[in-house]
Amino acid sequence: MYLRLSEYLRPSSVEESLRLIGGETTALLAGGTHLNVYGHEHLTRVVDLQHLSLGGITLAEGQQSQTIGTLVTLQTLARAELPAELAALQQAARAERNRAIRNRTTVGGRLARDRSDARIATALVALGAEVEVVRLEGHEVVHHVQPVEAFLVRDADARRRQLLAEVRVPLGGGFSHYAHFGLTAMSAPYADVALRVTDGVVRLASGGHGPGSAHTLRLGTAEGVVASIGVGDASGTWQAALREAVVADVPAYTDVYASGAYRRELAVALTTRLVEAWLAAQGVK
Amino acid sequence: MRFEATLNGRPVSWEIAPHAFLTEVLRAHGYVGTKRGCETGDCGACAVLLDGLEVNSCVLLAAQASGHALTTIEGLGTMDHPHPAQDAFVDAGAIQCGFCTPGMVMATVALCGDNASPTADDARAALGGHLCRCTGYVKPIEAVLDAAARLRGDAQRG
Repeated sequence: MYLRLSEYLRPSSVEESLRLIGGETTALLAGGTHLNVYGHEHLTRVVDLQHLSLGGITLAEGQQSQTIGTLVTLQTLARAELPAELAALQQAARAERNRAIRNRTTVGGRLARDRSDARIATALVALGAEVEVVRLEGHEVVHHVQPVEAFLVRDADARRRQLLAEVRVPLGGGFSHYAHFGLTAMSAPYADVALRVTDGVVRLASGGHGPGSAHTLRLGTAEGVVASIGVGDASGTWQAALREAVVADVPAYTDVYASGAYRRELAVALTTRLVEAWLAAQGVK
Repeated sequence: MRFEATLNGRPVSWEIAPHAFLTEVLRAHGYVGTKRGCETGDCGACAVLLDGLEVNSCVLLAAQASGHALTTIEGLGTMDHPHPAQDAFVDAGAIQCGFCTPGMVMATVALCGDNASPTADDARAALGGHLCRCTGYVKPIEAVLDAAARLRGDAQRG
């Protein structure tokens, strides 16, 4: 027992929740699976969100985006009937192999509390998702929508004062896919990659990169290479260009495990595999 | 703070510390079939059912479980009348040291609760979050399939 909590609170509204947070020693609690891992010794108070209605998966009006509540569990997400174009998101949810953890871990928790961005974060960046965050400005509850990439930038002070309400994933057809690699099936990925191609627009993201906490990155240079491949390009010459591009996109971090270069190599291999899957889905061998 | 829940079909009301995880609260009240293993949600020895869903009680604050229905291994069967899943694990020889077995049995019950006819792949996936240092998983997977057959009312597998 390493936690030193003196208060557990279970508010019944978003506004009440926001009034309870803000200090360095207070944390929002969704599924809670991340709490009993060292690094939270400073917490004295947790604010459990389980009574808030943030657990639905719905199609937005006009069906232009899929809305996912922040308290949706990975198990619910993995089993939901989502459009095929969001395959990457469900594959990322299923990449958490432990069913008991999937039953508790939430989308919001993974985005807001994880110290290493991968899986859900990687898929959502590639899918071009936005998040809606809620915070108090004076006495007013203010809703703010931002790209998930902006949310993932670690601004500790902002994160302490806001609540992640929902994720919106744009719909528009096309292809998406996710792949990861870890030491075992149960391990968090050393690196992962997600790809989305919609009307010729390519989005690529890779997670697990960084010297301390691992970040999800957009692979902008690689996106350009993939966009230029063209459906009819079965020549196989794109692999070398893609490799060069991914290497350019992923910094060669030096970490205590000296794993930065290895993770970058994994990103190259996984990106290549996803592009091959995309080409295969279009009948290109 | 007060912890009020339905445990194995009976109401309980206990005084708990806000920082106490469910594993330790259960064990402190005599429910020692729930094992303390990794305490980071990796090994599955502490698995219980929360509102019918398998959860790792070592990474769940007891306070979070207050107000919910919990089932521990003690709630499944008795020495005289074991649960079919418990019988299946015994008959398959899916036990050596036995430390991981309660968690695996809880995972089996959870699986069979939403999939009456699991495949071997389903069984492997259900035991994916359960570490066993003794058996090599072959017998536990057989036990899961046998448990499902027993729960369906099929004749006991050979």
